[in-house]
Amino acid sequence: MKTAFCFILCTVAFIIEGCSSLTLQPADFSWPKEELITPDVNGTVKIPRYQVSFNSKQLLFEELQDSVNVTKHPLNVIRDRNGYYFITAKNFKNVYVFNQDEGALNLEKKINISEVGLEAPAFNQKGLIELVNELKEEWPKIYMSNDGIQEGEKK
Amino acid sequence: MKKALYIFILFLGSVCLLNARQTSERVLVNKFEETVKELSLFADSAKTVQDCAEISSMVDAVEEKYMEKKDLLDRALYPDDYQKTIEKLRGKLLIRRNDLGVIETQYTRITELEMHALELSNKIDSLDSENDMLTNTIKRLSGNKALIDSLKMVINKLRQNLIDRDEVIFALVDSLFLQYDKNIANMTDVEKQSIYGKLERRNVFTGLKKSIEDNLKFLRSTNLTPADYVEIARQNNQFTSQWKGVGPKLANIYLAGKKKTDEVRQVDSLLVVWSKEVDRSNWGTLSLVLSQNGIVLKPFNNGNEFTANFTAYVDELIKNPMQEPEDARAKQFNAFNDNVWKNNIKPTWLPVLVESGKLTVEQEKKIQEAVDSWESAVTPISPLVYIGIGAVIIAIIIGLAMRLKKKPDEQE
Repeated sequence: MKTAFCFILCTVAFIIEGCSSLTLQPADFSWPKEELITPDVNGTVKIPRYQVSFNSKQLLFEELQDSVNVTKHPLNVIRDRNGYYFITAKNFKNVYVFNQDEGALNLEKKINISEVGLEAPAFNQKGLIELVNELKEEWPKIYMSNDGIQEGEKK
Repeated sequence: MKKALYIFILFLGSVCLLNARQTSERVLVNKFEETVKELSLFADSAKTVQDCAEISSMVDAVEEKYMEKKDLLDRALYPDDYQKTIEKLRGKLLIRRNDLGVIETQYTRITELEMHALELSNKIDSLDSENDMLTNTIKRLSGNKALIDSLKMVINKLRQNLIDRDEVIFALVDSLFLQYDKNIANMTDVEKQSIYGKLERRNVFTGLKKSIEDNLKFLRSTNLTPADYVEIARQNNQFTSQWKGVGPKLANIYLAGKKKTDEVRQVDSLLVVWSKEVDRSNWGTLSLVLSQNGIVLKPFNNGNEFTANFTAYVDELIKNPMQEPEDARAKQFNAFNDNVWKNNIKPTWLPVLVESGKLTVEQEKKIQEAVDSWESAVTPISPLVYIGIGAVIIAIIIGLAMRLKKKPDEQE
């Protein structure tokens, strides 16, 4: 009985080992610079360089309560080292962090940046994601990860 | 091409502005890509060797400007990195140049002139800093009598540097215009625009103004000798004549831009100030040189006054209203002749004053005649002259006597 139990245990251990996922590390998904993309009339954002596309209607409705005039809102998009997508736009009060899922982008974090809306936001790739306001020199830079603001503070 | 050139200048300008505020790296990368695209179009539309050389220097400027962002551009550009993009651009330009059947020597010559202009520009910068240092040294040494020799050396060095700098700035302007081998009137708008860009890049106007200002500063500094003033007058004269050659060309190039036309006028007016100052110092120093040697003239501020006052003074001495003894008058003339006239005024001052147009040749002659008259009036006549005159009179008398003697013989 004891021998049979050991045999089953070993067999299960071998099966588990054989089924475990293969991990390739390290991996870097970061984009060197942001992309500024205007959605088409259907709200679809296409980023040709990276062969990425997604629909932005729900995002624009969530932030601006406007899913009709989608072509008027160019989106700033950048991807960090871990593969999270950071999205914002002019007049947005938040930066949205999305995680890639099967055929979808899932909201990971909504980072509140401004009470009045950003005037001219731009992302820079600095290891962390840097958010600058191109129109305001005195506007302190904010550094973010998928966990939220790491340096700087909301305006 | 002209419109494109304007756009290109705007591009570079906007890149400078980017550095002044918070920058999106995307904007910077896009600017670079657009600039490269523009330059590529320029290369395609280049029609002459000059165009190619001009675009080549634009590529140099772009490469220099973006070098500090190389890391970002290497990552962001796709499929080529930064260096490859620049190399492709140069390759395209080379192909275009060959397509145009450009004679290599001509291209080389323009490139050499470009290099020469760059060297001259760098030389101006180094002379500028050296001159600033020398000016400060003069200020520091001026109060210390023990260091008078060092001070003289520094002044000489600065004087020489100022001359060098003036020469270099005009050589720079010449080398920029030489690349075109033609009159401004025959230049196309693109060529004018191109020279405009080069003049701007090399800060020619600032350089010219600085030259005049430094010369003015030097002139106003103390401890200058009469010889220095003479040299300054010569330098002022040379600068003025060179500016007369270059000024109209520059005015023509800058015809369209009010601001730059004003700069031409600024150089003109600075030069007028310098010339007036040189004039004032020259006449003042000349008056001082004379008075230190006992020749006190009425005040004079120009060539007419100097000639009139000097000749009047000499006339007065010749008339000798005070009835001074001959030997005292001769002594006074000899002192003037040995100490001032032969060693200073005649060989040094008069040529410079004539050369710079402050004195006419006639006036110079008049002054010389006055000095000669003064000399005759105070120098006793040599016994040989009396002997000569006596011999001539005797010869005439003998001649007449012989003639009279011959006549009675003929009658017989």
